[in-house]
Amino acid sequence: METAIALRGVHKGLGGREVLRGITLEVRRGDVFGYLGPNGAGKTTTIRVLLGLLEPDSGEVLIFGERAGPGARARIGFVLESDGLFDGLTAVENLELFARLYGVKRPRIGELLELVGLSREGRERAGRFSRGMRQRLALARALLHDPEILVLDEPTAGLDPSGQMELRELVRELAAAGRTVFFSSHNLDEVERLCNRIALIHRGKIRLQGEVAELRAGGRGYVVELSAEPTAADLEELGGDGHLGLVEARGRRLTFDPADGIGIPELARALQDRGLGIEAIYRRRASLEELYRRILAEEA
Amino acid sequence: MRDFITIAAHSLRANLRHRQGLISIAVLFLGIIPVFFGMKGTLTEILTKGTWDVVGPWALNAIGLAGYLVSLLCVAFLGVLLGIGTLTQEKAKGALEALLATPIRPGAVWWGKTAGSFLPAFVAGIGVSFGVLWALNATAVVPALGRPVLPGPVAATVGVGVPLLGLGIAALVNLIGLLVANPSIASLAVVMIALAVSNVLPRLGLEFADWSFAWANAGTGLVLLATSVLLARKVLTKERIVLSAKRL
Repeated sequence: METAIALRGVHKGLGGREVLRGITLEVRRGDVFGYLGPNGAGKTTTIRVLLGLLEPDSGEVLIFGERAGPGARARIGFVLESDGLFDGLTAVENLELFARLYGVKRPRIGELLELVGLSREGRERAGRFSRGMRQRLALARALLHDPEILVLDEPTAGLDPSGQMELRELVRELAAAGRTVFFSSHNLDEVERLCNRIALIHRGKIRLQGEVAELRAGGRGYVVELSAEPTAADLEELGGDGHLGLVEARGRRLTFDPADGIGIPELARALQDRGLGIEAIYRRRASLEELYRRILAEEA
Repeated sequence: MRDFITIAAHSLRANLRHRQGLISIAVLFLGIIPVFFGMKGTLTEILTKGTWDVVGPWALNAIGLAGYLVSLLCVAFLGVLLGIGTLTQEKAKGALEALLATPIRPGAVWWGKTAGSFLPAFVAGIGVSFGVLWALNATAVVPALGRPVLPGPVAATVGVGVPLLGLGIAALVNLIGLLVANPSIASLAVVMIALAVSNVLPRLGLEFADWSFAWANAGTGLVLLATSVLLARKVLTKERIVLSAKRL
């Protein structure tokens, strides 16, 4: 599959600190790529390098295989963390300004305002908009020149739950329409729901990168579906066996994180010995949160 | 060129809508009223003290001073005040960063911002300065001499010298504004320098109604402009602008 964005060995120092330490990542055409990391990890710096706002000290940035210059970067639409709207201009004027800068001769301003649910507010100044409206207007601005790539830097930060849902839905629609989305966030749940591929940055280095499904498959432990709900006594007995590592019990579903050397046969035997019928045993899928915690713990 | 025009038009609109810009215009025009009445009183007094052959040089100097003060207030200071408020806000709120994330060159942003703050000040400066000169003639000179007086050097100072000085100041202030964390303080420093220059020029023995005074202003403006261009070539990058922004 064609590579939309490639960063290769990107280093960037700011204020005497190396913020990016050899970032290498690849975003394929059509990906909804989640860029995860705690505050100060280097997410915004990566995005600034990608958008040409900061020059890397070394390494290269490629957009569709082309070295990232003004031409290649015109294929990117962006929503920055701070939305970057001009408060004194109306919604329409904000869009007109950027349409001119991108050289769009017939900007689809009405259509875009409708897409983001702001068609009635077109003549109002952006300075009077709520945070949610501003983010939606920033998204409309990002789409003005019909870019192939959308770079979104924590677009749901500061939005209320309904605003977050609306924005996520918009991003889903845009991705379904074939756009490549680079989505930076520290909201793991959001990334898990939206993205098909992720990279995790921590202290300026990529710690994890790949398909969300594949990464989650690398979870520790097992999930067991029993034929009947266990009694409190069963649970107490299972919980008391430290080797089995009972983590969670929800109805007929038990989750184990057993000690080394205990695999599916040993676990099945232990349950059957206690008279518990088994319907299924499968490897547990790790949540992004677990992966994230594990990596941060390894770092610590 | 297209980007420059786009930014200039945008800045012009934003500056004229910005509250600080509107307050600046109001304060400036209020400041011009005492200047006018002060100069009218001085001129009337000079013209009553003798014939034109005797008091002519003093009267011309007074007319020149009036034109200079008013145009300096309008072109130089209004330009700075108009531009710096919006620039500070745009930097702090990340709007400038969004602008720079498009394929625009930082030079186009600088020149566009300079034009957006200088042009309204220039138009206001020319209009108000020649208006004040006309009003001085109508209320003080014509009643005393029976004819209006507008010396060529005064017209050159108001129409060319001070506007070039204003353009140089606007370019330097906008450049510094783009590159430092607090553009307001930086612009104040430049305005103080400009004030010092405007104070020094008359003390060098140059009369307000002399050609040398008009060209000294124009020359100072051109030096500021050239300094700004040279400085911009060395230091104006997207990275510097972005990193200097202080978030609200």
